[in-house]
Amino acid sequence: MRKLLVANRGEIACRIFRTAAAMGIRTVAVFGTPDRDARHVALANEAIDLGGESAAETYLSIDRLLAAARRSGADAIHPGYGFLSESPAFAEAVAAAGLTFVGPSAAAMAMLGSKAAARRLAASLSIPVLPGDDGADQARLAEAAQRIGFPLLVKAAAGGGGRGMRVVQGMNGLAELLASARAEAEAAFGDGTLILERLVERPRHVEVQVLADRHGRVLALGERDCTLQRRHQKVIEEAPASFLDQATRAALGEAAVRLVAATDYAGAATVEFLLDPEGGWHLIEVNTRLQVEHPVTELVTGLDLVAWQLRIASGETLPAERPSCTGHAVELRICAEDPAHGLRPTTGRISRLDLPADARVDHGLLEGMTVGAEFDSLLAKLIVHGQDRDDALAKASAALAALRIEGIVTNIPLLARILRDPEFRAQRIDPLWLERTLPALVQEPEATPEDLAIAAAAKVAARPPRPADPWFQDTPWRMNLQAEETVRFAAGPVRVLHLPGGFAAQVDGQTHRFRLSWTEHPDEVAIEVDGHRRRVVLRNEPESVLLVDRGVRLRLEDAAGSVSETVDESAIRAPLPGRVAQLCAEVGMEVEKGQLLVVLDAMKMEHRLLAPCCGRVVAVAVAEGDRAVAGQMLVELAP
Amino acid sequence: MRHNQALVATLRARAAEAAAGGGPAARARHESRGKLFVRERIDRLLDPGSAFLEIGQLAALEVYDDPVPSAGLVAGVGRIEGRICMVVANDATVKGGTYYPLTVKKHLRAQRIARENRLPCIYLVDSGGAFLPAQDEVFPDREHFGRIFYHQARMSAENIPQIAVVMGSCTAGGAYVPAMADLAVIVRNQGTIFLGGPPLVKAATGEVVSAEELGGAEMHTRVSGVADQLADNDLHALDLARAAVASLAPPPPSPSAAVPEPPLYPADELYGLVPEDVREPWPIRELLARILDGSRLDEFKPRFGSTLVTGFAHLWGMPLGILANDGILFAESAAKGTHFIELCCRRRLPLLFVQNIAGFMVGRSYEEGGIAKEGAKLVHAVACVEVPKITLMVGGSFGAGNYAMAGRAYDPRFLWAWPNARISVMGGEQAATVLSTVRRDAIEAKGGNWTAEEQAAFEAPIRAQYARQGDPYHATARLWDDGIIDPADTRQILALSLAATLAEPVPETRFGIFRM
Repeated sequence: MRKLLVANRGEIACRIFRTAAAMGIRTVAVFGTPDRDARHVALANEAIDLGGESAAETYLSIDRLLAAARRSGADAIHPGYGFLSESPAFAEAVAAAGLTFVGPSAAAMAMLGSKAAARRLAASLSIPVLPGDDGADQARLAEAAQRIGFPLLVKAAAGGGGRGMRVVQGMNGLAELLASARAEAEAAFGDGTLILERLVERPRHVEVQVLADRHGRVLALGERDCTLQRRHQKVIEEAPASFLDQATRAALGEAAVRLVAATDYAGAATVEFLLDPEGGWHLIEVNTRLQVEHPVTELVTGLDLVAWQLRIASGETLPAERPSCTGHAVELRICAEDPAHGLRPTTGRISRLDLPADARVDHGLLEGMTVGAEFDSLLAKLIVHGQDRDDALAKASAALAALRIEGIVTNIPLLARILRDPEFRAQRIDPLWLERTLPALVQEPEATPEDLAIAAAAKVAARPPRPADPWFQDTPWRMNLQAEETVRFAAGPVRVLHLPGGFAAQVDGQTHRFRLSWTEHPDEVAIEVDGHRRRVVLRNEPESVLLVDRGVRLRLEDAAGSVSETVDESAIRAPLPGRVAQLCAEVGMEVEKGQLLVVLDAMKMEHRLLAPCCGRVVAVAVAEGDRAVAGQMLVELAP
Repeated sequence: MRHNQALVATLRARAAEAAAGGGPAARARHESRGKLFVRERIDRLLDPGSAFLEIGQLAALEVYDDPVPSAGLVAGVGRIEGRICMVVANDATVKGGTYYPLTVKKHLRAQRIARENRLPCIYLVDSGGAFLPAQDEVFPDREHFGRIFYHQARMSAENIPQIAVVMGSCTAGGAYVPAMADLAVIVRNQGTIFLGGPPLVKAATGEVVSAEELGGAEMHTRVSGVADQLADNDLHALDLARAAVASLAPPPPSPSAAVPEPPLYPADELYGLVPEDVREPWPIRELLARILDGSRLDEFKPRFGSTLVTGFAHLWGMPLGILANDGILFAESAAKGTHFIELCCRRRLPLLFVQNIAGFMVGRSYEEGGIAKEGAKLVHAVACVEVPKITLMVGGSFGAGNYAMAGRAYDPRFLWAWPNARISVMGGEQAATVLSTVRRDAIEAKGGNWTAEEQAAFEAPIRAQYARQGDPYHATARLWDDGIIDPADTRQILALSLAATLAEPVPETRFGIFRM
């Protein structure tokens, strides 16, 4: 292998380039228009523009990727994860083009990558699978569901990542549910085949990393605990799954090896199991590619999995012994998601990026880059290795505190809260834990008077003096009076007095004395409150102040001037004199904003009067056919 | 030094007292209605961090039987959406915001500053109208209540924006403040505008109507059109006023300024500069060195007429010409001052007059030398020059020296006084001596005899009267100046004053006939 094209983007492309470069392999990146200035493009020796914006036009286009490989003279293609990494058609096309595909053959991929096929294979090898239906007869899924029992899980046979997945509690509404899952699977994977699986309540998700070479040698490299998920996507992964007993650990490893060895598989694979609370375990699926969370295995084994993928693709032989695992590793997925709004994806321009010195961070970020909505929300992975789980979690917390990604809302504060959470620390979690706990985790504590005082001081101190302008000096100058001002937050007003060398802030009758100096970072402040000195993050935003003090994050909204956007519109009045042609409102009716209430014929025109806000009709002052004078109240709403 | 610091401590204490407005009971009542205090309103109206160049802070101090802090009206200049504006705000905690004679005078002074300097006006209205017991001192004359609306109309005609925010009552004549404004904001359930309030309506026509029905925000913004924008509360109203300023046509660009340089000497040394004994002279250049950029004065004619220091300088980057007393005015000093004013006039340079003046020299040889003629030239030049004038009183301001150095009668754009300043037609001692000499001559002409005791008893009340009336607080309470300032703030205040005068280009000056 001389020259490797990575048919991917973001952190994983960067990750693969790192190893390839270390192995003396030249690297080729591909990119779509939004990624023109991306880090992975900059890191590769060469890069080819795929000439498009969407995933379909770029990282999912087999033709364009092969053309890029030909053009660059690459002799191998690494698919990364996601995109075409589990597409047998792509593996086939790469092989047909005479290039090396870093991964299994199309046949082996099809055999293990399809959930249905993998379940059949596992059953034939006496590896436990969850009661389910492999979807051989898609027309009779409802009968199969009845047989398996509820609750059960509907999944896309071809997919992963939770798309096409549904929880079914009973026969009621099953048909519609299957239809929507099929449509989603069809859209996501081009294959609407569904399988059914018994749902295990409060399970744990454990997976085994496997490497197989082209000479029939298969090694299990230990397991990962990936139970902490949201919407079936992993958030925090650990290696090993420290709650496992040795027997189960060995059994999982042995089953994984046996399953992979039963096929003609070469490369990295991950065999995923569900562990029920009673200690039973069941195969769920096999991922025929490198996983996002592979670094935790790398840290505990000391192996470079990408290097082994490349070696295997080049025909090298795996060592006879599986490596020993030492310590404990944790990976945190840093995503462009807003914890305060149900983890919906966010976009923005990265204005600042500080990486922790003592942790591995796999990322594709650059300061100044724009994170759009085109691709996955994964920004970076922070991976740490400790002597044991507690040590690793402590290191993860420290590294997370040092990681700064500004300009975009991320899940960093949420991860910090999870790391501190007692249930998470005690491993009393399951894949739905985060969804259940999220509201409590993201709830901001109530601002204390001291918080308000700090935020007010920040607002005041953040105003840079303008030496050239006598109107704007360090303090809001007042003739013969103490320079003071009131900062009004929604939570209450703060009186800030400017004193020589500092401030005093008065909230709720308490006075706090401050010294405040800005650090080299634009929003980090060295602050001394009543003699207690520390550093806090303070950011003035257009209508709020963001304060992070000793790990607690608060957003203090400015007091709003206007309080009643809609009160004024509660009365619907005749805009000009006319006849009530149609009356669509009656007292007690609930109306939506924009709903038609009255049609008024006036000046040869038909005026449609709509509800200005949602609310309840509390009065109707006219009847159809009535004449209304201009300004007359016709309908009154209570918002 | 300690003496001057004590004067400043007194000044700050009096200012703090004035800023507290109408006392705890009135403040509590005001607050309970959800209203912001007048100074909080101004803080919110101004750009965050903006300075506020307050005028007439101690107006009405000890003038009326009851205290009327700041004459019940806070006025001054500040930046709103970057624009230098005049703010005139009633303090409803002081006598319901009613207009005492000095309230009217202060309102008119603020409008005059706005008009001369073309500053947009924002009126924060919360007033019960004229103070009826003093109607003869607030209503009928030229410079009385009606002049407020005259100024509003004329300023609007001169394209100086007039914006009113009705945050309380606006009764009778007061109703014309919003009605005559270019744009008026009114606060729901709080602002009212009517020519006659409910009691008057009931008395006149028997109609019983609530204040809100008669002239509330809801009615005026929907039915009468007397106000334009409806605000939910004080904060909202002030935000709307800010937005209104933001939408004004931008002012012409200010003349370019140099990079400001601080003086080489600290301002607080000014406390050590003025001797406790007012009769002791002190060097005016030491003052200039503590307020001018780089402590630099490019002196004009330094060797001639040296009791008047003249020269070119920069203050906070803004170029200006300075005339500062350094002793009694002689004919040469007056001639030099006239010459210098003509120079600054040609160069369109604003003028700063620093007054510490006992008056013009008297005596036979000086009269023969035509000192009255030379003084007249200087007074003429000061009166006619169109460049902005700013006057600072740092010591005595006596007699014709006050005129020649742009006293109040000569329309300086701003006039500030230090707490040690003294203003009167002459010193109390001189006045007592003059009057007792006249008296003695009259008595002795009739062959009478006037004992030393009788003379002392005659002179004492004259001295006392001059001392009382020459006191800067007596002066500032009557708005003979725009405020008493802390000497250490002099540079800042002069810079703000100067900046406020630069909004518009300076018109051509036409001098009259100089007596040669």
